[in-house]
Amino acid sequence: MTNFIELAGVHMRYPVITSGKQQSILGHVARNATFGLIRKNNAGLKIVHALRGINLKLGPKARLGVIGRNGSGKSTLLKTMAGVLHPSAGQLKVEGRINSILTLGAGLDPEKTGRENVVMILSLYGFDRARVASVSQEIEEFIELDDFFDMPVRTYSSGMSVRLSFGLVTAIDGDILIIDEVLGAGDAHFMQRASERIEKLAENASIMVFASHSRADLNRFCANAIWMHAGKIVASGPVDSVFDAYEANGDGAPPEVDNIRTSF
Amino acid sequence: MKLVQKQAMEDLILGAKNVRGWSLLAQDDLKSRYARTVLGPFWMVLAQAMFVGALAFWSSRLTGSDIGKQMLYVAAGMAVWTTISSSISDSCTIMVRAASFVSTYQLPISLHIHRFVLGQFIMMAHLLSVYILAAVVFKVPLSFNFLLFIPGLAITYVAMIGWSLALSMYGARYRDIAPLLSAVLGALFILTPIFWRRNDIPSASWMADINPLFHILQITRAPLLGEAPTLHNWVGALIVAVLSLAFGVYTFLNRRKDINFWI
Repeated sequence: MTNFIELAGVHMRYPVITSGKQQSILGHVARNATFGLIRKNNAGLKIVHALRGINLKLGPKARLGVIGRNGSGKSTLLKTMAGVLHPSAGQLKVEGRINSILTLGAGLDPEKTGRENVVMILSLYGFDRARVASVSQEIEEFIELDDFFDMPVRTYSSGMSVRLSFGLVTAIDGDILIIDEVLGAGDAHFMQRASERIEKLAENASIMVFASHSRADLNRFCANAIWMHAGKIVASGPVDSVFDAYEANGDGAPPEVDNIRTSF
Repeated sequence: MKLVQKQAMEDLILGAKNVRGWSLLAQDDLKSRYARTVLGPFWMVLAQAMFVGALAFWSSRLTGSDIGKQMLYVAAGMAVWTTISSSISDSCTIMVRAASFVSTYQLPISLHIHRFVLGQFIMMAHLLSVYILAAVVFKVPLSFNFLLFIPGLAITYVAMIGWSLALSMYGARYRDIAPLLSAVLGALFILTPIFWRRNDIPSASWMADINPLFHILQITRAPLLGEAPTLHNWVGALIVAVLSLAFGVYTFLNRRKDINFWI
């Protein structure tokens, strides 16, 4: 089966919870029973429209960079592709196993040691005992936490947790690799090793999507790029040409364009 | 079936199949309960034993029944009831507690349902130690009816998977469902025959018959006491289990896609 990932008219609207009342069944019932007389507008629940009709298709060997300013919908797009968020409208079709590196440092049990965390997660992914042992040894060597690997994660500095979870998620293989801008945290030495590791992963992956603000990193991993603005794809093409347009645009809003239908 | 529902169905199937995964998680939950204090979950057992002792003593005086019989009855009933009631109120927070897992890894989130339900049965095994103690002290008569405990547990398991699926979704969306259910369960504890018997208060027997949790309770408690549940109990419990599972699966298929917004 050929791997692909396809978004057709994908919209993402998500609620921003600012008050406990918005998560109250009593409030909900009161609103419905009184036709909104008691509390209007779902208690002021704000809805963010983060993706506005994305059409994007990636086939085998696609290496896509994602650029755009903060809040443009990059992370939401990546989370949607990874299947962590589900489209509010439109469809996401995926063929292939996805591995994503979205938020480093999350999903670790602070009471467990680094090793115990690694063993647990790998086991949940269905690695058998022998493979868990060999992969966790490989992770241990890669992340260079030395004695800390056998200490509870709550004793780690933030850089150390990032290393642990980077080592862990990059040990899980997938056909489709989705990486949010993660190469910012950690010291230079580790970042160097981290990008080498991503390069190796990218070689084995069929499709890769990579969000970054760095032209050098994008050029290193990707052939093409899309520019996200206000939840839409406003430009797509080879990395340098999209990046040039993005930089030339500066802080202003990009020229008003319709969502670009993109396929690589 | 819509695409999102298909994806949720896939989640359900992959989660159920990953037996090693959810057993490990349940084991891990248990280990961390043991790690916190010297006695670990046995504090809960101790509290249960004190409660059962006092309740059985008091209610046997009140009804003039035999203290030994009443001890067994209350110990068995409480072990089952505590499991049922905590599985209902705690299932509201399954996804909230697993939030960092759910939003980080490409793993089926239904793993956490099975992890939770298995954990409830592990706790039930702990609570049953109070019953076993009572059974040894007051010598429960041996009977083939004990074997009925196994199908009783199986039906309870199915019912529990069902309501955990539904409540884990609704409980994340509406955070006040958990305290609301706790309030209702508090009243149900008194209204369900746990320290009183259905046949002792004829004017209240209808209250037991229409109580779905009574039938679920009865199919595991009666065998523990060497009695056979009535046909009425079996049918009632089966209906509860089927409806619960259907509602749970339906809710999961339709709400799984939005769970990340609410946890």
